[in-house]
Amino acid sequence: MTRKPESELMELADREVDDAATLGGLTSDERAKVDAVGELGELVRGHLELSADAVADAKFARAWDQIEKRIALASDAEAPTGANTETAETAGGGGGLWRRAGRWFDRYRGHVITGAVSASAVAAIALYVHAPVDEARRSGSGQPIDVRPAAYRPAELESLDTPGGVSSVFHLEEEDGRTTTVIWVTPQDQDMVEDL
Amino acid sequence: MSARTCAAVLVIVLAASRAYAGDADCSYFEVTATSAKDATIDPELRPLEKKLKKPPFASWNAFHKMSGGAFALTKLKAESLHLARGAASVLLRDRHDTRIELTLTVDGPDGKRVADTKPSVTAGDWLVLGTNTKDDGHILAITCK
Repeated sequence: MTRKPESELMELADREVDDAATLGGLTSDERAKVDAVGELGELVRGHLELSADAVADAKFARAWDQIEKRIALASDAEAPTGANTETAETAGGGGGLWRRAGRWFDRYRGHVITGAVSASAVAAIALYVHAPVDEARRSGSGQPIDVRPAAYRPAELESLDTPGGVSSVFHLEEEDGRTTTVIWVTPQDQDMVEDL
Repeated sequence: MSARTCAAVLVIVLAASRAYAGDADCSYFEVTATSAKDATIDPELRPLEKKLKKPPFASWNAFHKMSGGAFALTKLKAESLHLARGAASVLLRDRHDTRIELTLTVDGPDGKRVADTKPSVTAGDWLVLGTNTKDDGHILAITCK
């Protein structure tokens, strides 16, 4: 068997020649050499592709930076200059201030949303925890808050005379807030009971 | 302002002035309360039905109307109620907005005074005066507005 020249082996390793018969005729050393060269070539190609990607990313980052700077410069140029700029920004109507606020919000959107959600949760818990206290206060435990409409006042007895009987007064509260006043007279002696 | 509107306003003003002049429209029920095998409350006593199921009326379970009706009160003019058992009179002493000041006297069948009271009640609320005779009860319920 004749040895293949190096150039032919390189062509085989680079897949420039795809001849199954030729590959089948290689010796084990030659096949190992072709495989090793091919693997080395793959590694070199991968490395180069990664390097190319990194260069592209860096270039894109620089390009975006430059674009943002130009946008900022353009907005500054559009905004009023000198004292007018300060006045406008102080009044909150300046495009630059508004844009900066927008950019700040874009940058910290996650923080802002997290803070708002946390504050809402705390407020909800505080309301829930304090609700019974307020209810107790409304129901009137020493606090002059239990105000009832004058229309629902129970009856007041300026005088009550029940000769020959013992009286008791009840106030029956209705579901609608009205009050029924009951004067109950119990006769003292049996004679009067029978007379009634 | 049209004539119809003027008439409506006049009616309202007259009604209001009449109310504030011290008059009141009242109604009453005279009820006998007993303990029976089956609980019964006369349909006419529907305005009192919920009250009659509460103490001190819960001692009985049968309530029947003995007399009742509507009557008008004029300030400082006593009105007699025609009771089936005994007698009663109501006097409108005064009224302020929704409060009505009355004088109520109730006599037994023998003419003896059972109660004499001067209540001040909210218009529309019920004032109930009851007595018990042995096992039965005698109830007089009045409301004015």
